[in-house]
Amino acid sequence: MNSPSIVRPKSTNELSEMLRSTSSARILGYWNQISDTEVRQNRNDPEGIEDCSPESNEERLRVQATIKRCTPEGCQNLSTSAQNAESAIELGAMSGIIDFSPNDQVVKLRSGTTIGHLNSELAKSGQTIPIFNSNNGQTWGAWDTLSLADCIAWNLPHGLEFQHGTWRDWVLGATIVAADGMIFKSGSSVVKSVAGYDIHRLMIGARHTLGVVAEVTMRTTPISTLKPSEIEVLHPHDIDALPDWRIQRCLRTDWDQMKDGIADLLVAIDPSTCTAFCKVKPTPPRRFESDWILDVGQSNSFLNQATIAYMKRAKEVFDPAGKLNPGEMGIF
Amino acid sequence: MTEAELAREMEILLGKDKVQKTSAAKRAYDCDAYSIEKSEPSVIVLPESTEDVQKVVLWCNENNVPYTPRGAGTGLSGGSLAAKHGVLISTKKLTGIIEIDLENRCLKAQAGIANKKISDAVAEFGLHFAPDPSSQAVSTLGGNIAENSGGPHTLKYGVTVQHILGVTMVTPDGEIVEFGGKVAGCPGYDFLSIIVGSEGTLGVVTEAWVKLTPLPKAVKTALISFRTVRDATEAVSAIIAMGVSPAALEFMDSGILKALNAAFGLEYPEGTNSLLLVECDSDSESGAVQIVETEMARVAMICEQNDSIEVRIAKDNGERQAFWTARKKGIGAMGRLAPTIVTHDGVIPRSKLPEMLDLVYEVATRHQIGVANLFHAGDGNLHPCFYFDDRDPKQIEAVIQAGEEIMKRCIELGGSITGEHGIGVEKLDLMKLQFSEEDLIGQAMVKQIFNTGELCNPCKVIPNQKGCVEHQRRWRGAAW
Repeated sequence: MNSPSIVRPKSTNELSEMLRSTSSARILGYWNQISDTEVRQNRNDPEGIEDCSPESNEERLRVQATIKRCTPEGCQNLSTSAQNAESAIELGAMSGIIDFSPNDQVVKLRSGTTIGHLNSELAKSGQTIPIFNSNNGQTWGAWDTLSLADCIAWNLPHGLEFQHGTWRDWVLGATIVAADGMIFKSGSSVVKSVAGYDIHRLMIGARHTLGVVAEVTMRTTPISTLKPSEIEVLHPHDIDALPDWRIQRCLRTDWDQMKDGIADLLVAIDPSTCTAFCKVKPTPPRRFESDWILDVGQSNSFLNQATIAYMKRAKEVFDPAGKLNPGEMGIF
Repeated sequence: MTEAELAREMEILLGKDKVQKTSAAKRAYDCDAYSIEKSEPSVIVLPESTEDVQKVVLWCNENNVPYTPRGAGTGLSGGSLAAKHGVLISTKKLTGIIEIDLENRCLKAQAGIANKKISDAVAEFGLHFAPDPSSQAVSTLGGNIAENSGGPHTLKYGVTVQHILGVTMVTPDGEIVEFGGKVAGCPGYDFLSIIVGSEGTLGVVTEAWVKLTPLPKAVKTALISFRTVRDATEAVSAIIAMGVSPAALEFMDSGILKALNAAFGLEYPEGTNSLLLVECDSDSESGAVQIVETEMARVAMICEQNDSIEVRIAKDNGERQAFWTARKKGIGAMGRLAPTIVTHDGVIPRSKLPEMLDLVYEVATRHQIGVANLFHAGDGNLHPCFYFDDRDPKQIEAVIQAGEEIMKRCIELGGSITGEHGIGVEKLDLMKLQFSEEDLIGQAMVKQIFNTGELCNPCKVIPNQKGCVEHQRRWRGAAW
């Protein structure tokens, strides 16, 4: 495998061209970043003399931004492979709001837009994406630095899920680039539609393995209606660092038992959804009836058999060559 | 294979008491509430378990016979039409509640249970199943899942997909699979999101875990009258824009009011040409009454700023029910105005309601047909009802053209060709208005994950399917 090119498409069409011309692509995101080795190689510092450990997530993103150069002469190659993918695609340049109607409470944006940028723009019209309650001065870690693509790729649980819903509830439509470069859309720009299959919702949590979400239309929420979160952050520093979380959710009837069993590992808890955010992965995790576990940033081995079987079928239909984010799901 | 042979095979498979084969039965099942297009099934089966359904699907696969699942038949787009005849799988006997888990606020039921029976079963515990289509007294859980049904209160509580935690389904391959479970939000591909709303084309859902939602602790309902449609629709836009989130926000125009007056003697202030029905609720443990009163006061203030004539707040539950009767019986009352009623279903951004309603009336006037409007204003989900005499071909043609103009405008405004009725066979041709060729390839790919054949509920959702030409454009527009 040759070393991967890291490219930063600026538009959906550029992304399409890139996917068309590559045999495999790793879609970079917060939990799928280039490694320190890759940073060093790019800095022409193969011996690793310079310290490139980022001190914060912002630093990490800056480093990423500086090394992903694609000029008219071509894209810079790095000397290490990225999970055996030919290309590495970073969506950060596909950023910004395309259309926002505060009166309709609907926004259309490019998926590389960060949550921080999005919410600061929406706030000018009294709107927000409700993942924490800014009315109370409440923030939750470095969420502002995550892109929308990160959040929906992982279907990330957040601090106001019980009160205001999930990514699946907010995403109304999407423009998706398929593995072969085909651009297609799903859903609509209105708050209610049952026309066709909701492919945009299938993409939520799919970690770009079925297609790359380029643009998203989603509903916004008036800041004035935000409800207080029940989330309890036990270790603010760890939340700020956005570690590789293990997120476990269980039934209300098992909540106390689950929480007590991993008390020393908890970073935050959300009693309203019975969700535990752990800093360190307890191994092996204790399981409960109907619970689920999401190891953020890791291939997932906690899926049931029917889901795995049909995930393989979906992958075969949407990405038969296994081009998108190889290895990401841990099952193909 | 003749129909008689097919019926005999089903009787051997399931037993005689689970098979209906008379011509009267076939006629009864030849359409759903979209009655313009009809197609009789060859035989009707009434399975009592997931395993019964599996037997039928496996047999149909082996013998290349199409099959179509059906709930109560209240669908409005022909989703349960036996388009290629074959076996109609009715969920009429799948009506049991399997488990109620009050502590975890969820319930597992068979697909044929009526929507309202779920809420009735848990009402004494202060809980309910939130999706409330107007047909909820009879429409089934399976049908709600197939169509991703809405209803007046989905403005606040969301549509069916937001209330389904897991499903048991017989896939088109004849496998029994389960997706999701009692805990929401499981990692991996979110198949529930595409199964809910797939109109029964990805398999036959036989059981489901549903979320139970606390009943509101305080409710206030108001009927607000306006002199003009524009005043009312501008009030709707202002309510949404001000960040007020009523539980329901429904619109009725003078055409509906005239019908309601004729049917039930309902009266409104002089000069009323449109009405809003607004309901505010709260399930807050503390101060629910105060929250609801504050919210309703804001609604009233916004409506007064938009020149409302009267804000009439229900004094008690009896009056509240009377308000809702007006809304829910509106379509039925329309039957007094003309021999034929066609109800359309389109969605537009809420801020475009005033200009869209202007267009609806202008189009109806230009085509010289009657129109009345009652719809879910808070969602921007229009239901213009054209009333006409279908014995006159000119009137049919006018209704077709008017419908087409309205749907095109919905799409131009960034909306959708259906907010809650579904595509079925009715709107197959309209999919191309909303979606490009590439978009439809994406749609076909989703279907391929589950359904690679042509037997499971054929000729629905995706246009131009093999062997389905007769189900396109036959009644184009007549019932949009």
